[in-house]
Amino acid sequence: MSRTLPAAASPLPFLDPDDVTALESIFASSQEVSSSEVTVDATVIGLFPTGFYIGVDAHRRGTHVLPVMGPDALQLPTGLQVPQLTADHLGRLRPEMPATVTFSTASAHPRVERIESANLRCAAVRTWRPSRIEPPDLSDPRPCSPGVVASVQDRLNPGLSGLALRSVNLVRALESGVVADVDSFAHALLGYGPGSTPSGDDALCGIALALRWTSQSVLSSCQHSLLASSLSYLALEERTTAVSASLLRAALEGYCIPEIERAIADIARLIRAEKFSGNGHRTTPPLHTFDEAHGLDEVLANINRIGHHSGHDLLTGFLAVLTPAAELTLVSPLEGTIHADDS
Amino acid sequence: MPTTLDIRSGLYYDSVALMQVSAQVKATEGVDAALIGMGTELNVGLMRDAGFDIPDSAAPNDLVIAISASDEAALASGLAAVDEAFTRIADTAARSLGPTGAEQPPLTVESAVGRTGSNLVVVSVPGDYAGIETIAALDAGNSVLLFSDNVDVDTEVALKHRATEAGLIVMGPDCGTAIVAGAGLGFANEVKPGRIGIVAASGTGAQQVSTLLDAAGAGISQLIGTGGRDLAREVGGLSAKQALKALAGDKDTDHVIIVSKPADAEVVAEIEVLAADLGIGVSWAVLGPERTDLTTSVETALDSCGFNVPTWPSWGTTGSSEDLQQGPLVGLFCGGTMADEAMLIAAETLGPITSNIPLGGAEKIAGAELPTSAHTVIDFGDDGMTQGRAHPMIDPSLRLGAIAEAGNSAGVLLLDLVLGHGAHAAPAEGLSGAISAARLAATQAGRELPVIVSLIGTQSDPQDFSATVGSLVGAGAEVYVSNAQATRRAVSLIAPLNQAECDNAPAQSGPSSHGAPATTEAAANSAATSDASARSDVPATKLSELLSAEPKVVSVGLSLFADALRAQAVPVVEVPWQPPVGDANRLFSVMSDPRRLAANAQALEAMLNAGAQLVGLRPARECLGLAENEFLHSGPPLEFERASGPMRGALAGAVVFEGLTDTLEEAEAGLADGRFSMAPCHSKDAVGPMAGVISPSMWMFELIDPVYGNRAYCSLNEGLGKVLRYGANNDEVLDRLHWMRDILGPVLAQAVAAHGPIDTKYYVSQMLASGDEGHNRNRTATLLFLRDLMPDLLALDFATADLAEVCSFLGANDYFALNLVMPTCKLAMAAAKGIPGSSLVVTMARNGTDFGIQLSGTGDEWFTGPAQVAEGLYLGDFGPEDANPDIGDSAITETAGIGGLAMAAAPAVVRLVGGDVAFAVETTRRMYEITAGEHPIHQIPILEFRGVPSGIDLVKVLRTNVLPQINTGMAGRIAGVGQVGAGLVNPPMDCFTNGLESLGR
Repeated sequence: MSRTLPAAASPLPFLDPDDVTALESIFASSQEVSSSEVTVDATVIGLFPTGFYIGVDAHRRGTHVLPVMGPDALQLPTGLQVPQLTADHLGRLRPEMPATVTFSTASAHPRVERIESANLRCAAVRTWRPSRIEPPDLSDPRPCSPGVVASVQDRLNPGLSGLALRSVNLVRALESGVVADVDSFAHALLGYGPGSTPSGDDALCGIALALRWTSQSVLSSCQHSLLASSLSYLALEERTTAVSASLLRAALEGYCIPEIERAIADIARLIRAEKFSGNGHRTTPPLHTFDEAHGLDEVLANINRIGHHSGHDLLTGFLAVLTPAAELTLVSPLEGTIHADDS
Repeated sequence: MPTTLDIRSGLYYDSVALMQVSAQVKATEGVDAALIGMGTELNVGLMRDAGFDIPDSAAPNDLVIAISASDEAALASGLAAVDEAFTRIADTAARSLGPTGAEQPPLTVESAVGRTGSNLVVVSVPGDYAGIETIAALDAGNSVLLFSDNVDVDTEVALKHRATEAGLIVMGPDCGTAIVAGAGLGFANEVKPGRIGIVAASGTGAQQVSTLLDAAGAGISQLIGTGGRDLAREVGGLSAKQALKALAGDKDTDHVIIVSKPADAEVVAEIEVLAADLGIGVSWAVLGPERTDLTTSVETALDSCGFNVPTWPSWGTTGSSEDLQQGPLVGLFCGGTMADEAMLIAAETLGPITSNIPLGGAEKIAGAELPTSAHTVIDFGDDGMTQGRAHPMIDPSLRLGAIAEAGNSAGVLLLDLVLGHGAHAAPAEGLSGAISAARLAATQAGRELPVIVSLIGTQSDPQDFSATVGSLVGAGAEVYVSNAQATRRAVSLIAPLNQAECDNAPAQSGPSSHGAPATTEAAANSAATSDASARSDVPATKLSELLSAEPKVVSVGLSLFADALRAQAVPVVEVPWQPPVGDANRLFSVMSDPRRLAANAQALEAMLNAGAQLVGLRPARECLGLAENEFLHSGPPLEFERASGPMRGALAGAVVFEGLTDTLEEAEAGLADGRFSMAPCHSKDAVGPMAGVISPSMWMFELIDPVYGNRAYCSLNEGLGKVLRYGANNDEVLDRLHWMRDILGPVLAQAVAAHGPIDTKYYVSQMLASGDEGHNRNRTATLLFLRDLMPDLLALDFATADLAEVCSFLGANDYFALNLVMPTCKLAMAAAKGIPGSSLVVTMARNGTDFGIQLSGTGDEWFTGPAQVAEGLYLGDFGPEDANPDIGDSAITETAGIGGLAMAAAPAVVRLVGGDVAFAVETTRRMYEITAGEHPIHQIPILEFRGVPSGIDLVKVLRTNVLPQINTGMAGRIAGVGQVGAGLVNPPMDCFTNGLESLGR
């Protein structure tokens, strides 16, 4: 066994702390190490150049995934950071290799303390701080400019056709407050798309993050609760991939990867860069000046670098929330989406 | 139609990978449909709609592969295609190690910052060099923890001003402690998270305060060190103010404790005004006569923040003797602030305490030699005690020896022990041993020696806190977490007869030697309000990002700090450091020049923007205004007596070629006596390869930079073998020169005139894309030139045989375009010349005797050193003894970022100059460490089209000790021999150290 690599644990619970079934089914098969720690069997699933996934079988609740992230990996909010993880370490792992995950049971929700697989051993020595979306400063009086939102939406290129429409449908259902509609439109996004983080889930994350970003409005706050409760009724792990489910759960709490936080900050800067005309009246023009368009180009270039479509998918959801209801009513359900991304 | 279904578990692929696999499978002949995706409900639905029978067991984490095909055979090939596609994805990933040649480590702080996106640099190099590394970190946009001591106060002030202007902070110098964004930097304890921030001008003081806050259950949010002198008048609290601004904007901080040794009253007042403006509550824990001790200050702060003040723990206090001791109090400390506090408290009862850092006029002693009877406190962490050795928290040997010794004389022994990150991993054993030894010595002398230890640490520190306590108590010591309580306990054991007569000594002790005491009593500044509107005025600087973002650290200096950060799972990159070459003070002043960054940026931009067009050919007498007896040569200025063999041979040959003398001997005599004058090509905006000799009747390429309007000139290339530029001068050489004068020059002049301007900057980009580096491989540009010129050339009114000979001459000489590339590079560098404050190199040239460089910021001044002999490959029987030292203006190519700097683009050049392909790639990668930027157009395909390293920075050369790489031809040492080989060479470091002297003036 090579020496233990220090790791930083996520503050987010590995398992939904309310999901007693999952907790019980995982801990049922464990070999107890001490009164404050539980070690469970796991498997290496998914190996990447910069990190790997460990899967813990929660039986009826599906596999739960713990991303183990090297220094250059995407910093997933639920992951275990291991700054000294190298290609050498990863080279000795193989998919399906047995592994163990040790949780401390001292606090309210189990925290990952250690992982072991082959001759790799990582131990959490600190808690890291994932990026989190916070509502913008209250003292900033500038509202979002619908014109700019539309300009940005026009430039997005989500991974699947129909994603914008499905997002808008869910947002509209959240606004209406009709629980059955929310459930059915959330269901229409969850697990929609081929990859390990399906496009539909990315859009759902975007919607969740946008509702948190606007949570200073009581309406948004209610819609956020509605979305959270709707999703909590759906057993996420049964309907989408485990890694995507954990990201979605994190997004409901406002957590995301740093690249998304930056993209949202950039978008926020654009859509709130409102002009005041000489007579004090607000004007909300679409992006038309060179500087604004140039700013958008840069923002989009950064978004292009997030996953393959994930950045575009997530922002499709995010902007659906920021699109005023008045405009939503102009959308013909038969036409598909509010912009031409379905070609 | 046959279908197949394959469900695989535990496979994760991104959507694009899956799309690629699908596309590949669909392309298989006979395959009708292929749906590949994770088994989410929606995907399974889609597959069922497409007619596949997906079992209910398919789960979201399963990869579902559904294929339908016209027949079974097609189906089988479809499935095989799936496996092939996945195998290829895996193989590609496994092989993605990049091209041959290892990634080069970052050699400068700024390079490491740029590569890692770090937010903090830890500097722990020796004090004389600390300013250099700190300024480099600040200029790269990072705050700095400056651990180094022995940094003078002027440097400190300069660094802190620069940091403040950039919205950053310098924590230090001599800053041993910080806890930022949850990471302990330097010596820091593992303290519970809380909502009290600490600003500390005292490292061990901060550790005392933070460990007490931990023991009280309050914890801390951040601990920002400022360096011990920060609250002194000269520094004016520059870092404390930055720290306060950052904490006021930190969402985790509600209240701030400022910890310091005695501070300047005015500075304290300024900070209080700032705190009130920022709307954040501040408590002071400032040591000094008539001020409260640190423990009391912490209690006050706890109280004002609504925490209960606990009973501070102590161990081993029962059972020890209460007999009063006749000998003196001896305090042996690691922590300077602990020592100060002990002296302040002890002096109240015992009168002035002798020390190596005495307070208020007490006797000063040097070193660790203890007076036999006086009450004494020694700070083993003081600068005077740490020269040539590590801090006693790391290397305790000196103090342990003194402790064991003290058993012979001390009445009571007072010690501190500091735990935490960075400190000795297992200090208890050594200290307990020394305590036992001291106590044993006392016992043997018939006395009992009480030993009191203040233990600065927490239960979560990497050292085992409980075991440490156990070990110390086992050795007979009493252990306190409060240094003030420990000191009072020690003093209480000193017999009254042994105490000073003046009970009120501190009142008369006057101002401390460390600075005037603070006059403003501001404990728990509850007057300050913390309304949100005031706090929102705090500008969001990079500094507040430092407190909120995940820590990413670059460390330069001691590996200890990097190791301590790694142990906390903090990403850290270490920069290998060595002392810079040249005068460190001068280097610092050059780097501090406020113009430098902008000047270098401007020079780089000009260099990259400059264009180059060949507009014509003219004889040198016409375009350079050369008089009939005037000759140009390569490199810096040279007297004929100092000229090397090939230079003499070429100059003499040129004199004969011009018909000024009949013999080479006469020519040499005329050159020596000044009848024929000589000057550098560069002095006339010209460049010449090797000897670079230009005489009045030689034809010159004339190039114009359409962006900046500069002009540059270069002679025509004679080919290889026996040629004038290599110092050969026989009839064959002179005949060729005559032909070039009479046929080649006029033909090319007319052809270029007919063709119109030719963009030679474009040639350089094309060369790099097709395997030439522009110095020793010029094949692409030569052929491009011939291709461009051919139609116009063939239409000229010359004898067909002459035109054919011109074409064959160009086609047979792969170096022909070197003489176009060189003036192209000369134009780039001409655009970057003359920008005051810039440390970029704009010329590198050699005359066979001296290597000379010119800098953007120092005009036409040359900085020279002895030219070196290249190492490389030799033609025929030639060997190193036949080679002349480095010669030629062709290093203008390297100056402009191609040639040796771009070797990675031309791996085949290693067959000419030596080395292997990995060397070529690694060399180019290393050159990025000494250059200011990358060329947007001249790109290297094998490095994923990274731009060539551009703008050699003298400052980086001196700091990294990495010299620019030059690929070069080698001339024979003896006049007339010609080329003997080609190889690799560097400029002498003297050019750069001499340049630094001038730049720093």
